[in-house]
Amino acid sequence: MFGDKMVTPAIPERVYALCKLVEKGPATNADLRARMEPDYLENGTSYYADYRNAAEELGLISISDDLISLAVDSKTIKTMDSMRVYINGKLDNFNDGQFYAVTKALFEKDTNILKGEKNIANMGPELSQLTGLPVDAMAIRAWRFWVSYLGFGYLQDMFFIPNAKVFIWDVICSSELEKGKLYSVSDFVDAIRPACNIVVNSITARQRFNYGVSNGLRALYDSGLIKLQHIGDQKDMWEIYPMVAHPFNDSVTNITICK
Amino acid sequence: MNSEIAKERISYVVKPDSITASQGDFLATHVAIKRIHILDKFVLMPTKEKAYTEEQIFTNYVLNPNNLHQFIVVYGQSGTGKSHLIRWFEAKFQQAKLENEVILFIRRSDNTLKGTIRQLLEKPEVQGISNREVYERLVKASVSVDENKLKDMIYHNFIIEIHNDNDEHDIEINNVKRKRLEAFLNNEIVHDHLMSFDGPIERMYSRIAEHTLVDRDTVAKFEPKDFYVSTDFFDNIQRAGADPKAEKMAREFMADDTGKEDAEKIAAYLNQFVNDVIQRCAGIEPGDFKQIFQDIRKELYKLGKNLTLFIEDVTSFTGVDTALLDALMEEHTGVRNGENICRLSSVVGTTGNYLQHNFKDNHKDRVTKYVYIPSDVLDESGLFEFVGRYLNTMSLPEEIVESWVNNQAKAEDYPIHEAKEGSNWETHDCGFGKKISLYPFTKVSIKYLYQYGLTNGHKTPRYVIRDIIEPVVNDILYNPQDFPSVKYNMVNVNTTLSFMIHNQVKDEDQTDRVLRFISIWGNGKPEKYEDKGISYIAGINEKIYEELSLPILKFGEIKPGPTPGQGSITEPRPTPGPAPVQNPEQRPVSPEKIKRFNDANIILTKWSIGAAIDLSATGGTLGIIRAAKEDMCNFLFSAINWQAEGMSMDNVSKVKASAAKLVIFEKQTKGTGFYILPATWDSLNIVSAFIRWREYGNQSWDYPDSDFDAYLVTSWTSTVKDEVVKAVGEYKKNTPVNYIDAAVAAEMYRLILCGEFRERSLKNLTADCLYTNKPNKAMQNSHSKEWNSLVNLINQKGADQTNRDTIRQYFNITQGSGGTVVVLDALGLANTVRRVKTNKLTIPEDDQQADDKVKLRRDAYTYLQDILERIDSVSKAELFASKESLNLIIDKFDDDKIEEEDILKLVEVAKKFYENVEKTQINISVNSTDKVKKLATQIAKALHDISEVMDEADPLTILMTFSSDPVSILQPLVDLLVQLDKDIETVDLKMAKRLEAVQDIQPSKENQRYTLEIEQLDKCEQKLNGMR
Repeated sequence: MFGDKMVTPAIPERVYALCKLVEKGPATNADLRARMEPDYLENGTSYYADYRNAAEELGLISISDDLISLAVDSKTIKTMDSMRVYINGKLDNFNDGQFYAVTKALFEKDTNILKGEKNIANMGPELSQLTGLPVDAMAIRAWRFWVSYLGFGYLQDMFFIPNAKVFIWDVICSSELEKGKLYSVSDFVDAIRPACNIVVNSITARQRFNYGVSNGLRALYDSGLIKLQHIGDQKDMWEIYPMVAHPFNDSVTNITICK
Repeated sequence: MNSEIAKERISYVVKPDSITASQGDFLATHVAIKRIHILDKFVLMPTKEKAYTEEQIFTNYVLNPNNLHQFIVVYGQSGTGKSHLIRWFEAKFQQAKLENEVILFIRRSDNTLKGTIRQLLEKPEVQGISNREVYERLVKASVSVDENKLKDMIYHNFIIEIHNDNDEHDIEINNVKRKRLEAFLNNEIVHDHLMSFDGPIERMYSRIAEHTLVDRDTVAKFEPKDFYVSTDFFDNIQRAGADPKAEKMAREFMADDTGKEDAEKIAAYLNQFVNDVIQRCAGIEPGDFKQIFQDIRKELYKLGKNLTLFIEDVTSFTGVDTALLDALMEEHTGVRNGENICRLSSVVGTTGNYLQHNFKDNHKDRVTKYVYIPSDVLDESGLFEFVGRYLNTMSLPEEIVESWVNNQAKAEDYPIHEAKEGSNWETHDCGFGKKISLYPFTKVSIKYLYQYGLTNGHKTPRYVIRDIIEPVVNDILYNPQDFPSVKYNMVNVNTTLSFMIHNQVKDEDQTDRVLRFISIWGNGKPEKYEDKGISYIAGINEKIYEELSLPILKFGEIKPGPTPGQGSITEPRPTPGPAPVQNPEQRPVSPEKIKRFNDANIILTKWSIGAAIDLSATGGTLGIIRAAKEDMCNFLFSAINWQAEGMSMDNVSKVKASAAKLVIFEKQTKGTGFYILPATWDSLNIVSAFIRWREYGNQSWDYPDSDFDAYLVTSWTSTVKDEVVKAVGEYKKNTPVNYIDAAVAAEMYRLILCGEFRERSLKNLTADCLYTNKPNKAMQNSHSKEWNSLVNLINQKGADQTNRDTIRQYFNITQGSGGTVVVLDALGLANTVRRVKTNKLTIPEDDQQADDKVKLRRDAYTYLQDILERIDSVSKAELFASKESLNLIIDKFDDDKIEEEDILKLVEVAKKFYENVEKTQINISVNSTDKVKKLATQIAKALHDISEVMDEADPLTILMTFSSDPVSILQPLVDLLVQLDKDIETVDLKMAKRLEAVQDIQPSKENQRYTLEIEQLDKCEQKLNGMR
């Protein structure tokens, strides 16, 4: 799913439901399948392997002798939110995969994403070109479930609006950034790397936050979770996507974690 | 401004009725009018006439250069400045008049009939007129009647007029209607209605009484709307015990088709009596007024003088208007009877409405010139000057103004006050190098308040004074720390500006204040620039913000633009919205779309500051807002990861299909919803973004500055998500929805009732039972009628399938819009099944949600309720029905504990019976006992189960017992027993017959041939006896 091709049945909620079933103890594949897709449902098709593989790929479960066990602390799967924080911290492990590449490519489109194709499922050819990976409609449909769950943005039907508020906050929470301390913007970015590399340009020569990340930073600022500052005499400066209505119109020099 | 002086002088200077101001203040605040029209014939609202200045009108007409009789009517809407102009004419005329000219200026100062006559008699030129004593007595007999009594007098005088109407008036009504009207007016409720503050009697009272609050230009007449009767009004009349005639009249007024017509006719009919009634109540006889005028003119002729009459307001003569007009229009030349009278030149003020309705055609024809003052009499510069002169005059000591007036009030000498406040504020050039400070206004604010603070029809000098100058000046004088605090109608608020202010200022009062200040006093844009060393924020000098203790905002720097305040006063405010970002590739938004957005923004702005909003319309501007609301709902449905938030998609889809909307506006007059969008500026920004998405982007984000809107919308979604999810997941505050419990309980009942689950314990009623489709195929059953009715009911119209679908989808972890494959939320399902079983398939009374606002969720409860309501009677009926079979069996066995062996023993006996029957050749069909033998175990169990619940009270236990239809299982045994009874009876009968036939047969010599048979019979008899 993350390491290679994306598949639609492996949605986050199914991965989570599977993990919860093994929270109290290991179970066999057959048992788990029988609980989530029992024969009496007469489904005809089974999706079990898809979401089980995704859970395994993310390191949430481990499989040994057909026995499936929870591979993380039960706190990790306490809620869907805690599982999300965990997964967001793991994404960089899959930087060769389709999910990573597609997310990165779409964020790099900046606001052009607002003016393009209304149905992301039709963006296969374009994304194949941008990522260098074969990306078909099915893969994008699968991508959308995870990209919205992981907090990279919002889906308006099949249209994606980037706003990485939730993702950025997750990686901040997983980082060693201290609350109340004034960080230079570069120190801040370094502290959330490599997790943030999926959407924050890793070429430091271009110190610029794209539209989706800028939206996320601004939204975090507006909700009081972080404080963005532009201190005049600071040379370390990152451009933020220009938005005349926002106090941080074109550059940020310092960031403080408030909550 | 000099606030110290202004506090003292404001109440003297700022008077909506300019005529009451002192001469000095009047002249110091006078602004020349330049848009007056002159007409020969009356037109209510002329539009294409040539414009004249007041100076031209004065010189060419008022001054009467040819010394002719003339009657000039000055008219215009209420508040346009007719009185002001007439007073100015009078003042000017005083300076330019000839020696033999007597000027009579009839003021409206006390606005009474008697006051008017009093003013006439006070003129020194008419001290010697004949009948003077009579007139004075008339005037001095002041109406010292209590206000309410006087109003009642007016009211009842109308009833007297109707009662005594002898059909001498133009408009007549028939006798029946007249009596009905009289009764109608005599009704207490009608009386109170017509006497109300805005009713006709109050309007008429204002023509007689000394002081009233009614608009001075109001016509003292009945209006059709005074007689419109609503359903509520009618109910009140009825409740008050109306006379039948009054009720009939009220019904006529209430009629949909003819009610308005009747009201119009009755108003016109009653208006015929207005003059007589007013005169009577004022103590004046008809003809008095005409006589006074004639006497004055005679007197002046004798003195060789001419009369120039300025009447500020002819409407104040209501009650004598015909007589007055006749008197004023009577020329001194030509053929006429009686004594000579002086030349009369009259300049009379009135409203267009009064002129249209109260001047008869012959009067209109005799008017020399019509002078029309349009509503928009002031141009932009005139408006600034008008406001500026008032501001200046109130800051000038009275003696300085008087001194200026006494020195001929020359424009070049016009005094300018010494400004103590407002040195950084804008000024207006009023000629001769004199600059008037506009503090506490900016030119933009004057234009804005004129355009949006005044309603249509009120854009006149009077309302500029009353609704703009007075409140704003009072606000700065007495409330500077909150200035501007007056909540003027704000339109087209720039959403970017609002967003930025809310971002930078956290104190809500300050936010409102600065937003209002920038939107009304400034240019409404979030921009900053420096010009000649002065820093401007939104076009206003930064020092003014400091002066008013307003927060200094950080806005983007721009290059200095044109001086604020330029442009037409009717020019609409520039389009609000995100500050434009240059993007040459972006297709522009059409002006029509911008207008639609602006119109919607006006309504939304009002909503955000407290007005209610009705979004039931699908068209027009409200339709645009309604569509935006729908778009918001759709966006949230799509953008929120409902399942990740722990919400079943079944609940979400039910909410989506509900009449209650996901988002509802605060103060929305109709409709229900889940998340209430608060009436705030933030919300306005969000709704605006959705409007732009639909209107500018044709339901896309492809339009100029959509990046900001997309940010706003997504940022807002993250903020409100938890609240929205909570609202969808709750039945009422802090009570989670539990319709799934009802659905599961109902399905469990269905399984029991339909015989799909046939166990007497819920233990084995597991999740798979809910999903496995194993319909009971039995065509017949032995259930009670009530049981079968309930089964029919729960399967009616696919209700069973709908409920099963709810359960199937509720625990389905769906991907996207769903699909046929179900992946279960196994834990959730197990928990629910356990909970429902623990509650014995009921929902505790406190947890029931049968009135859920979502119909599809409510349906689960309705479905369960249909079952629960009936199970008691069904279980009783089932017991009753089974009792017959059970009792029969117990009777036959003579035992209430029948075991399998007992049944098998019976089978054996029955079998033997039929074998013997066969042997004796009795002709009855042999009944098979095989079925009973085969079912002996089940029959015994059924008997046991039924016996066990015969005294049971719990319906569920009874239903579960009967779910397997045990009565049907008993049936073969019952049938056998019944048949055995019948067959034994038959055998007995047949045997008796046979015995009877052989009883008298004895062997004899004659009958030797039967000996053998008799012996045979004896043997048979012995055999039969052996069987008994």
